[in-house]
Amino acid sequence: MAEINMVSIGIIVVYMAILGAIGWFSRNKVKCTADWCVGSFRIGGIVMGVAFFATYFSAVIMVGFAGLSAKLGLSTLVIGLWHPVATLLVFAIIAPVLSKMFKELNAMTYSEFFTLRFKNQAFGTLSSLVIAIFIFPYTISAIIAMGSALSALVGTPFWIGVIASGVIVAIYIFTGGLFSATLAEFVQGTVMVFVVIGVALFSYSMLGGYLPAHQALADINISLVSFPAFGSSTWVTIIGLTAVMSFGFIAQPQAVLRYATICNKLNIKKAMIIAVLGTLIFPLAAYSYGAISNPILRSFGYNPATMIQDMIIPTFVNVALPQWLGAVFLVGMLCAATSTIDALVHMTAGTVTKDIVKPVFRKEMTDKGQLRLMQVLSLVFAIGACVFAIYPQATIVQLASYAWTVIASAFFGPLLVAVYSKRADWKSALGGLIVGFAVAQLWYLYPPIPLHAFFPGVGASVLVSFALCRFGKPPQDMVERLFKPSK
Amino acid sequence: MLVISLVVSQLSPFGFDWWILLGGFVPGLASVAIAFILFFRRGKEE
Repeated sequence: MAEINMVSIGIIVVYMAILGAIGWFSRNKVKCTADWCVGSFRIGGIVMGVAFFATYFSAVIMVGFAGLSAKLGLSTLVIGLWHPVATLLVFAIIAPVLSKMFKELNAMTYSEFFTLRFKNQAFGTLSSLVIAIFIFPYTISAIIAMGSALSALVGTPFWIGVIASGVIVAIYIFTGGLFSATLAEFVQGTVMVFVVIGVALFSYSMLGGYLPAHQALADINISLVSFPAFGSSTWVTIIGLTAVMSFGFIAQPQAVLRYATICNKLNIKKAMIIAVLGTLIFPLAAYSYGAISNPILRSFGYNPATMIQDMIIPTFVNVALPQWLGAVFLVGMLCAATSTIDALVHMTAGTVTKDIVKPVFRKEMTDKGQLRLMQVLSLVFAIGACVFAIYPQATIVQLASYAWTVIASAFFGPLLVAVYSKRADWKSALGGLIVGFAVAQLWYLYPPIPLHAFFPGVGASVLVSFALCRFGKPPQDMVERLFKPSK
Repeated sequence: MLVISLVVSQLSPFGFDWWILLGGFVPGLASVAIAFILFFRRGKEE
């Protein structure tokens, strides 16, 4: 045990050194807020494609959702297999239009895009408040996932794993902003794909191959290889998570900052290919080893049905995989966790500075001053999320699903009307934000029928936003500027 | 064991429910195929 601990600790030190080097390399590239927030719209498609799926998938998938697969079986593959569908929609339909608008408006953040698009600072500030508050549970869930896995794999107390994740992220976000975040995510995304494929293949080989592994699952319970019955609680869970984790990502601010800031159309297409492949392979492999871990853990005397969901995969890695593969999993898990946490911390720091502090409290703040504040806030958010993560109040899946549902419900409508409706104004966007947000919250608290809150929340947001566009008085100069046909 | 094996044989050739294949693998793989088609088709236009 002491040996594996030292190997794991060595891996963490090397990993931190690599990310520190990325931060050091990127420091000279960041001279203003545009560099820090959006990489001055100079980041290419291949890097951004990998960064997109690295941000999309965190240790939440590798640990939390894979643990859910261990309990529910292969039907959870459906959740992961809809990710590439949503990714295709993003890059084929939304990204070409939205990235053009971002550049035309010189928007640095998601909220600033709304401010400039609707010519209304109050709406931009409100949207940044919603983002800052509700992205926090997701940041915490990603840190909990990393802390749980580190404590199980390295043997350190949970809180040390949590603090380590915050420190790792702070190292390179502070200096390099989006440049170092996407560069780090490129490395992390590439590594984590190979790691999950390796773990999945090894897991299948432990049970004698693809079909024997599925037979082993069926031997435990036929429901582990079947899709749940229509209307059952498991069916509701899987359909809800499929929608939230696939289409919910489209309106997430950290995702928008990646697909809307790619340098040109050709690079958007390159990013599309990379991101669609990544969003197919990564969850497919993670959910597969999650499901297959069930019979393997049983052969070691554990019963995943009675285990805490977030501890299933760390236990599986510890007891069932060889030490070298456990170390490899640790590397992949570090990559997956930090690639998401960095995106959330970077995005929140930029949003709070640009859309709350500057317009509300310090209107005369210089660009240099904003850059400094963003860097300081990135440290504050990383450490703050760690403090909350030390005392987890819910499972990883619950926290992630809740945060994605609320943010998607608030912003789906406003985002779509901002991009596609010439009649949209701040009132139509505000109506969609408030109604979507309220419906999702109320549905969470008092669900009238067993249906995930994502569906009514996003549905209400989109319907109300477009309905209010009929009465909109959009700023005409903005409409002419953004919707003029391309030459 | 015999009963379970019989049930598994009624599943898709991959050893899981047809609904997992149709509801998950088909849309997932189709989106990859469409992404490649869009990439090459638009590439030609440009």
